[in-house]
Amino acid sequence: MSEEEIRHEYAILERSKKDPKAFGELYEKYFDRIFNYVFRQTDDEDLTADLCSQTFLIALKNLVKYEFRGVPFSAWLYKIASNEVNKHYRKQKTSKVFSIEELRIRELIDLTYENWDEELIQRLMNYLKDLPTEMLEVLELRFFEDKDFKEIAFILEITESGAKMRTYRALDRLRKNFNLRIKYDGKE
Amino acid sequence: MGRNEIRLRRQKMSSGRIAQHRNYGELMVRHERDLKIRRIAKTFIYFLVILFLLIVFVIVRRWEKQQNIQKQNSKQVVQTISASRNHTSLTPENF
Repeated sequence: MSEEEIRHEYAILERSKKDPKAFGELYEKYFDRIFNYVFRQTDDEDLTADLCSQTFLIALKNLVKYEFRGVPFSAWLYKIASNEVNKHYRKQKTSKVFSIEELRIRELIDLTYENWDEELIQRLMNYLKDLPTEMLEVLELRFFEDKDFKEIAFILEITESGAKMRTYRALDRLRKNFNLRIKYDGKE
Repeated sequence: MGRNEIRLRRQKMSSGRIAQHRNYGELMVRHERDLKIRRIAKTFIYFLVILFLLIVFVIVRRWEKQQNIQKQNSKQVVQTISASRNHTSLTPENF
């Protein structure tokens, strides 16, 4: 995100503090991304719509408290969404769902094997199942949302080096277990 | 059972489908309603605080009044006793 875009967003936010209707522009801009992010962690369309609406409502309510901390405004929305999802799972006392798109996995992983077979997918799913939630959260933000480590650290309330460490460890385990070449930055 | 449930989706959610859930007007209505509830709650809390202070004030005033009455009563008692003492000391048998 360019500096000009950040400044433009900040101007909208300043306007929104006085007139909440101005926030509509940011709502339209980020709704899809937040929706996909929440949907990936619930796999339930109606629940996602509720949590998404709650996320934006909380953002609107706390707009006055918002301060620029070197990360784009979207990171703040992701942070609220992440907290709402965690709150939901704490209430329900069920294990967290990660619903990932096959297409995105295909994009991210350079297979050493020629074919992407069902058995390999199944093995990968079973492996991901046993990964700690913290690692999955980092992987999701890094490779599905294209967030940099600074943003990930802000969203998950951890240090930047902690975010890097979790990603390295998760990818290292994946490489060892599956003999896969996974692009570290997801953009290679 | 694993720590998390991993599901694989063949397709990404379409933007048209997501758009069905996008409704800023409704969000604004909810926001206005929340603001109204917050304002009412704030007013109610202020009212309770003022009521509490008023009750404390009334209690203190009553207590002060009672204290004054007690003081006055004890003064009167002292005065009567000293007056009666003076009276007995002035009888002809004492001369």
